[in-house]
Amino acid sequence: MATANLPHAANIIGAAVPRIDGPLKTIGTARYAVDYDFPGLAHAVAVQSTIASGRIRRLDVSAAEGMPGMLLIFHHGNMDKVYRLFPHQDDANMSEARPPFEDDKIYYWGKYIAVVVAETLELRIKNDADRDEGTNLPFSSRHLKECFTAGAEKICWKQHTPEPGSMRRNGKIIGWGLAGASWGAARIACSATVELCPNGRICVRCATQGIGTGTYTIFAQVMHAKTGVALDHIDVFLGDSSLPDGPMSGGSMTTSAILPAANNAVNSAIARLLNIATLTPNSPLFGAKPDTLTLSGGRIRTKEQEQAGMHGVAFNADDTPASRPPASGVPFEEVISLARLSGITATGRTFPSFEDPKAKAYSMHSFGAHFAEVEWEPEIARLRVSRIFSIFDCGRIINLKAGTNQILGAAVMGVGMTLLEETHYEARSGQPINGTFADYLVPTCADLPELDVTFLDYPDPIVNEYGARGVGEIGMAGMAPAITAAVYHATGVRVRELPVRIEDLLKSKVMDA
Amino acid sequence: MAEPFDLRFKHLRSRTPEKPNKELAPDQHSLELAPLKDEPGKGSRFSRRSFLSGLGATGLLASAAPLVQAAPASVTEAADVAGGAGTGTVTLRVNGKDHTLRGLDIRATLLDTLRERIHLTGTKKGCDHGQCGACTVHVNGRRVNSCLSFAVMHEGDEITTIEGLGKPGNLHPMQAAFVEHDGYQCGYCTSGQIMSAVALLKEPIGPGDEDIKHAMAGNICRCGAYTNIVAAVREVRARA
Amino acid sequence: MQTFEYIKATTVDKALAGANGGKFIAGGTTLVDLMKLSVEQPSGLVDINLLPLDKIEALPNGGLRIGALVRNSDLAWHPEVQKSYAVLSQAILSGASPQLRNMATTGGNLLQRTRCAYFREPNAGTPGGYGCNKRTPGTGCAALDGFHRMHAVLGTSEHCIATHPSDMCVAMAALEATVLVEGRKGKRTIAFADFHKVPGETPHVENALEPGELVTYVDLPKPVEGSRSVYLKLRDRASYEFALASAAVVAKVEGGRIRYIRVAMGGVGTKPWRSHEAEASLMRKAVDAAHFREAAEVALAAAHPRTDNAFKVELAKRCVVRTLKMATA
Repeated sequence: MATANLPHAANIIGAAVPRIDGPLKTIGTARYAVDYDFPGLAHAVAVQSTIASGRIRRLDVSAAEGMPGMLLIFHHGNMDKVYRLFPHQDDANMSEARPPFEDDKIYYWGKYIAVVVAETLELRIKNDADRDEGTNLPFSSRHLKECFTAGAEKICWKQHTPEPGSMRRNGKIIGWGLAGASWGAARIACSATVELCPNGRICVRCATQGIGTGTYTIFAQVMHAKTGVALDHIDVFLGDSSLPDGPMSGGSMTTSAILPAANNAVNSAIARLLNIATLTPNSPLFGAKPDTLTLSGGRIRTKEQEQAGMHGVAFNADDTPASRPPASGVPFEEVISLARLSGITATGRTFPSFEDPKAKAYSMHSFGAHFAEVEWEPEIARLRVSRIFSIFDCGRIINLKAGTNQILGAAVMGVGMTLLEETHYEARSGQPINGTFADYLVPTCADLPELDVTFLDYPDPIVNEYGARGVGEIGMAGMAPAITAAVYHATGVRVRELPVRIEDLLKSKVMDA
Repeated sequence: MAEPFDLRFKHLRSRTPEKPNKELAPDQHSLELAPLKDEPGKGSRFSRRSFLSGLGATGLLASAAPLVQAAPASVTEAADVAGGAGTGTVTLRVNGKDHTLRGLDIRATLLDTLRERIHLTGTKKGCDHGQCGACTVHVNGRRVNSCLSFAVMHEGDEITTIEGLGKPGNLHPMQAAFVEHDGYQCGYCTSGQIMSAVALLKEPIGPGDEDIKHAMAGNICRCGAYTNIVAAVREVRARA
Repeated sequence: MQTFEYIKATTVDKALAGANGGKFIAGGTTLVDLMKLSVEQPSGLVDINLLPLDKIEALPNGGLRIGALVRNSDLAWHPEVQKSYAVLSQAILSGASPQLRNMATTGGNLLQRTRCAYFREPNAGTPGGYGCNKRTPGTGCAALDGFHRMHAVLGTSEHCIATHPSDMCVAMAALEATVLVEGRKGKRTIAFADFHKVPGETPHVENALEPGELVTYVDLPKPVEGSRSVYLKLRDRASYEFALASAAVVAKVEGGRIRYIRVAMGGVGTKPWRSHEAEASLMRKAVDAAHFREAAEVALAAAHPRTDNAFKVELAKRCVVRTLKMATA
């Protein structure tokens, strides 16, 4: 504090004085409207008129009143006397010359005709945006509302009673909480090389890395989708800086980045293959027109043969691709061999979305909703997360196993973030004093809730030709708020600093039955 | 090119089971370093692995073993090193094969010995203090944390590591179940998870999912793949 | 880690003879851990895993003799222990992890050391390091004004507030076990209540063993006819964590009144905390929540909480109440 530098009393006018309310802001204890919380806090939303002049003939609130979470709807019919301020005479100023709810007349566009006081889910669904209100751009693809409604259906949200501690099951108090999730999406730069090899294998190369998100498999899936070559004949090489430039595994963006590069590379390689097939003298396809040919099941066929029912790939009973059928067509490696090539290679590149005028005209995000349930035993102050339903709109999911695993993992991380994890710094030495796996608590298998993950699987038409955005951190967005909301619902304790600890929950006034 | 490997990247591994790793080229797998201790008449060769392994002041180990995946039979024995104070000779029986380790530092844990001397790197070091389970192996059929035990204490024990459970193309049912149920993400904890899961099949735990979860609580997975791990264990238990 | 002499003993005599300045090693789960941190720096290790102390046998008086080398998991799974000393089985199974329970032994669990973060710092008790009277008497206690959320509220002193971390020991305290030891001077028995020491002014003295003495057996008395026993452990996560508060209760109810009661607490004491106060409060009382709560209040009446572990007082009370409920249901 620079009090020592302040001038003598009278000269304070005009001096450079540090704000007296400043320190509170720097330590986070300055209270803003949104910081206040007390038991029974609800939310209010105004319903505004969409005409500038007129009269309310009828206000039908029956549907809204039947909604779960609804507490009360104010309108001119049930609002008590509304008082005014006399303009220029009273001390206060009011911008409303005609306050709402006085009568049934509309005086201007946007006048409040009803105020809905409701529980939070309804609020979110009613307030779903159809445009990115920050950038004023349309969304490339957004299904947030469906995430909420699907999740509400799964947990049976209609059974929800808002009073903290009011829901019970098997002798434990149940708390439900929900939160939305949003995570930016983009297409970032990537290059990949595809090589058709003379031994019938396909090699894909990219410098991106496989850290456990399923990247290797995504590449192989694209190759299989385009060529029909079996997965066990596809070699994916990643994680070496001498390979074509690839993205990092982060931001839930890797899949959207690698798909176009892989796709373009394999398309180019196939185009070359077909071309070479028609130009190679001993080739059975010599002289054919490349645009009449197609590659499927690893074999080159004419489009007619393809249409005549020679399916590109046969599948075993368990949906794994069978080895190539002994049907028509020329195995691609035969063409390579006949042409005396060491292989056919092509490179593909992803055109980043921030360079793409078409993509820049849209706001791209993934969306989701979490519905979390906790079980609370006040007698021993024990709280556990019992179930989490997560519904996600991440565009098209390329690999359901890998994509689902990301959200499942995020739920576990969310349990840790919300209830367990905290770094304690020793105040005197600055050392993180709990820097071991025993003292810094991450969830164990025993902490695992029942997890239910749903992907809406709507392709995003802007992000890339597969409609796939990517899945990673998106799963954790909204996880902690959903759980802390459930904690409040069970215990009546609103915890705004993570982790929620037993110390906080001991304050709960909710008692056992 | 007829080879599955681009010659520029011969050190990269194939992801396909049928193509086993090639041995490292002679110029790839060891550095010629001057011995830190003068050993007259003994021209030791040191691998990068042993140089970096930090096995104590007397941990000068010679190893010519290539880093071969899941094939303990092809690992060569550590060459003799003159024993100094704090070293001993111990024979460890790992995955059914005896390994006589001379000049083994007394302070070497079972974990470090498996990884650095016997070159079975499937067992992982997560915390080195028995707090995460990544180092789980079987000693006489029971799961233990290999980081908290000295190697010298295990003469006469049957030690099983992840490499001893199954092989590519012939996976142990638990390994296959982990693949089927996607029981991993980054994979670092997976060896320990599978070793624990296989061991618990012989433990008197209850029949339900809660029992599995508690029985697997000693294997931390930071990626959070627990749901699928439990699914894999559940399936193998049901079949057993 | 400093190097050490290593011998493997095949008989108790050989083990005792080889113990000069060295330490006995069985499972290693405490010792190897602390040696890596330079908290323990023995000049020699005597490996006692081959000693014939790995049996659980019935005693003529109806009790049970547990060899010091019985693995924790074997002890917990033993049918007689599960049947007649359920609190001991439950306590062991609530602790550590399956892997650690397969390695750790009865003797080792008795002798495990505190998890205080300062005690476990390599530099603690050394010049420039954190003060730790347990590591080096007279250097102070960094936990008093430091990170002490997990520390004790009972049996503390201004010299040390470190919690005793064992679950097994809490159960054994409630069961009134006896520890059998053998040294060069011969054999002796130590009542469980006397085995562990509170820090007082000598936090570096943790138990009643003389240098070179080996724990050979733990004896459990004959189970009280008609009694039930329960262990309850409360902690942040569901497993693989030391207790914030725990309770072991052995109770016999007849005619709706408590006829036999033993109460011990974990996670809150500098040693496994037997609560005679709670027992006195409960004896002959009717089985009801009010009496349980009274007992819990007196059990924690002497607690000395500090800022960050004060919550343990209330948590421990709730733990005692619930455990009493479970044991008398």
